[in-house]
Amino acid sequence: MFQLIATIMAIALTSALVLVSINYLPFGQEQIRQTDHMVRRMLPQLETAYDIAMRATDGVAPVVTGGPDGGLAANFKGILAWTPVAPEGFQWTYGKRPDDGGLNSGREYFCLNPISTTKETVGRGLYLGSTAYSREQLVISTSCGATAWGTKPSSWTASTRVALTFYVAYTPGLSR
Amino acid sequence: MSPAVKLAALAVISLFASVAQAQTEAPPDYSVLVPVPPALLQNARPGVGDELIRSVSEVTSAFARYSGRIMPGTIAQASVEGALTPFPVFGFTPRANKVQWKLLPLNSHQVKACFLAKISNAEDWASFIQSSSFLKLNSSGTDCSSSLRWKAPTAYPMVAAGTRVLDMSQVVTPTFSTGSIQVQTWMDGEGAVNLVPRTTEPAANMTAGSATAFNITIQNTGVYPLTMVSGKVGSGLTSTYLGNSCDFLPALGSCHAQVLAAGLPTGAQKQVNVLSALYTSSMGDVSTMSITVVSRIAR
Repeated sequence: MFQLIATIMAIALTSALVLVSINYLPFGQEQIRQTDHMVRRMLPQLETAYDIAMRATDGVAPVVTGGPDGGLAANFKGILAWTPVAPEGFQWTYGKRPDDGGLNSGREYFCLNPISTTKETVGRGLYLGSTAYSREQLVISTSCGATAWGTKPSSWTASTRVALTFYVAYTPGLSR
Repeated sequence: MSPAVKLAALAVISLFASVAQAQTEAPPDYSVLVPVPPALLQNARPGVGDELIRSVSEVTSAFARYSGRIMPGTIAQASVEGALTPFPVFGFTPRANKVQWKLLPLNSHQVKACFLAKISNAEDWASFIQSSSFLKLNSSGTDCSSSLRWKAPTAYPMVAAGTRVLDMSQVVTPTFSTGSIQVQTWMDGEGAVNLVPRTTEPAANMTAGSATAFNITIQNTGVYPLTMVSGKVGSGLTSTYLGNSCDFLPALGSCHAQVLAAGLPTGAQKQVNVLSALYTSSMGDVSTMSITVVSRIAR
């Protein structure tokens, strides 16, 4: 009987300790870190894939299609050899700015397009990772293809959606 | 009640209490998580070196994009002065978190790119040295002009500088043609190919030291004669006209030039601007052509 009570007591104490400890773990920090890491590591890979595609076609950019991913898989999967992983609530797309004479006019871009509410942890990871890039090359706003930074959300609600646009430019004769 | 039972009861009560606390607690305040403790991001956060690599890449690319083109209506590269402000038209302005950069004119075709990195600790210093070595930056004083050997800092923070010379003459203008002009190129023993207008890649590969010739046919596709007002052949190359000169092209007329690779540079693969020419017609129209080849060392 005493052994049974001691066992129950041990389980109860351990459970209590775990539950209490949860309050001191930085909840969501791992997702911020993962998203930050993804932005820092994946964008250069997509940039390199774009360079390879451009070199192979003598400077002619891969065509943007009307599909949901803008032709990203069709144009780049053969080079990347894998499907790019997107953070939770996002999808990678490929697009092009119109030739409007403005900033990034006529340039192609890769975009993390929101397909659902942007979770705060993911959103914070995107902003954290974006600090590695030029503010002209990487733009966080509400839609893909934006050239101006949107206001950073002060509160993250069910209607919050942010899109990360990453412009690419080919330089003939130069390899990254 | 025995002490063991009392202890068990206490444990169960604390269990329910902690569950209740977890359920009623307000959502975590994420703002306290930013900035995230560096230790947790040790494998994800880039150091000074990563930012340096990005900055050097952006500045070099923008310089190449600016230099690798022909000014409209000419066969000349853009001026070196314009290369000092290549952003945002020719590239993306590097983010200056820990690395600042500036471009300094050296002469009519060279610019010195100087990168100043803020070094906060020994880890930053190691990262800077590693990346600078990879990028082949020249060590420099923080004034960007004096040559100064990098020495391990004795105190932090400090600023370390590295430079790189960017040379417009090493950036070849693209292969392209405009106006009422059609160009075909081919190597001896190969079929002729039309030069695609505004091609960004070289027109052909040649092997240094080879006797194989690079051939160019230029045709005036318009109804007015074209006169070459300026033209240049790549340095060290030998070119000869076979038949009539290319200096004047009557309506629908053509000429044939042959370029020998004997003067091409040996060593690593290198681009060479073989022939650039600017033609005008009696109607004032301007046609431009520029042909680039890549030379390779024979193995």
